[in-house]
Amino acid sequence: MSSEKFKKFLESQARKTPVSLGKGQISWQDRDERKVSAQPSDFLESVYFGEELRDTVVMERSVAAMLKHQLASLEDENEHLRKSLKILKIASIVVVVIAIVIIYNLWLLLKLLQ
Amino acid sequence: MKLRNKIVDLEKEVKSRFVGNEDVIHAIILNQLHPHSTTLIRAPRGVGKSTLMLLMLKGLSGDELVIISGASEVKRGEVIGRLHIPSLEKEGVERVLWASFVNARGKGLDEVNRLNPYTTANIHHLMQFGEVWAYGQKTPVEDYSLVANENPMDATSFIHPPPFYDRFDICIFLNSLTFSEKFQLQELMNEYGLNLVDSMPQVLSFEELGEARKEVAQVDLDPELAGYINLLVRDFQACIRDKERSEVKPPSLCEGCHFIRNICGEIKEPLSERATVALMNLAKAVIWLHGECDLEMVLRIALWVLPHRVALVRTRNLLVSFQDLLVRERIKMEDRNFRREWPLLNELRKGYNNGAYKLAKEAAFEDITFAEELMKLEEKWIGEGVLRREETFATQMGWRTPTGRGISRYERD
Repeated sequence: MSSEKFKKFLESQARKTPVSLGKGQISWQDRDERKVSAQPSDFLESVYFGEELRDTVVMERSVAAMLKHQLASLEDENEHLRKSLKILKIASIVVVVIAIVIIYNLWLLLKLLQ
Repeated sequence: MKLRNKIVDLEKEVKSRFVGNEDVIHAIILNQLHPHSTTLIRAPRGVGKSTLMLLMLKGLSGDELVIISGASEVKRGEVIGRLHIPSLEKEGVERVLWASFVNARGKGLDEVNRLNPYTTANIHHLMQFGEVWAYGQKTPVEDYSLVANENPMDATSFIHPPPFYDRFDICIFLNSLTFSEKFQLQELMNEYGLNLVDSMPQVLSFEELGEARKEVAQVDLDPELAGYINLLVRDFQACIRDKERSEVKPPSLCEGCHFIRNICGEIKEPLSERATVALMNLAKAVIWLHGECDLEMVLRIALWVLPHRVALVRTRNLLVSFQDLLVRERIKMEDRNFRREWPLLNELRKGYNNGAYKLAKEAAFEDITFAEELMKLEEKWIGEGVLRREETFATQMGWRTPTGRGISRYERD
C-alpha cells in the first residue's frame, strides 16, 4: 500500500531539486543558492583535497557543526583509549611483578634442590 | 478571525502576568488548539510552574478548573469517583459519583511526580481512552485541557512509567528569572496585589475553544511539511540493528555499527508514533494562528515534543542535548537535498534505472531512513526479476530482509 501524500512529498522534492534521467545516467544542475552557500566553506576542500587555506577561513554553520561534532566524537574516543591505555599499563606492571616473583621463587627452589 | 484574536488575547493576558519564558507560553497556547490537550511543565521548585498552569487554566475555563495536587494526600480513587453510600444502603445499588476532576473542562495536576501510582494509573487511562473507570463502571470524559507540572529533581518523586509521560503532547521547561526579570516580577506583584492568578480573566469559553479546535483540525498540512515531520520522527526511531526489539540497547548495541556517528547511536529508547501526532497538531495550530509553518518551525516545535519521549544514551543537560541533535538533524536534511535523495527515490519508484540506483545506494550508505525505503524497492525489483538478491544494497551491506514478511525489520548476518 502506498500513501498518496508520500508520493506527493517525493514529487514536491523532485520539483524543488529536479534530476534528469538518461540511459543508465542521471544528472542535475546545482542551483545558484547552493553555490552561494557553498562559497565560504573552502575549509573542507583543504581538508579533503589538500588545497592551501586562505589567510581567513570562513565556514558555513553546517560545516562548523559537523566539525564540532566530529571533534567531540574524537575527544570521546581519545578518552576511551586513554582509559584503556591506563588499564593496560597497570596490567603490564602486575604481569611483570608476578613474573619476577615466579622467577625468584624458581631460583629459590633450584637453590634448595641443589 | 474572532477566535484567533481571542487566542492571541489569551497569550497576551498570560504574558502580562508571567515574566520571561515567552517561548514556553506560546508553546502551551499552541498546544491548546487540539482536542484532549495535555501539557507538562517541568521546572525546579519556585520557578512558577504552578502559577503558569493556573493562569492558563483560568484563562480557558475561569473558575471551573479542578486541580489535583500530588503534594497533598489524595485518597485512593477519590480523583475519579466514589460510591454513593445511600443508594447502596437503601436500594442495594452501586452508584458512582464522578469526581469534579472528571467533569471539569480545565484539569490541573500539580506535582505529577508526587502522585501515587494508583492515581497516576487512573489519569493515564483517562488520557489514553478518554474515559474513566471506578467500581466497575465507566463514563466518557468530555473534551478538556489538562495542564500538569512537576519537578523531576524532587527527592520524594514516584517514578512513573514512560508510557504515562508519552501521553503528554508537549513537555516544556521553565527557566529561572534573570536579574532584570526579577525586577519585572516585583513590579507585577505590586500591580496585582501579590496574587497574579486571581486577576487572570477567562478570555474565552470552552465552547469557543472547541470551535477553534475544530477549525485547526480542518487545516490540511501540505505534503512537504508532513514529509519533514515524518522524516524527523523516523530519524529518531530508525535503527539498522532493530533496537526496538533488541535485548541489548545502545551504546552496547552500536559497537561496530556502520552508523555509529548518526543520531540513532545517541538514542536508547526510540520515539513513539504519538510524537508524530503531536507535531502534526502543533504544525496545524501554527498554520491556523500564523498562516504558515516551515521546517525551521517544525524543528523548534520538536524541542517541546521530543525530550520527554526519548531516552538518550548519555546526557548532561537534556535540552542542550536535544538542541544539538536537532541541529544535526537540520544538517542531515540539507545533506539529503544535496544528494537529491528524494528526487532519486521518486524516479526509482517509477521504475528501475541503473544510474539512479547507483547514486541511491551511495546515499543509502549514509542514511538509514533512506536505506529502508531503497530496500523496500529492492524487494519489489527482486519480485519483478529486475534485480538479483546478491546485487542488492541490503546484501552488500550485510543487512538481510526476511523474505515473504515484508521489510519490517532488518537483521545483521
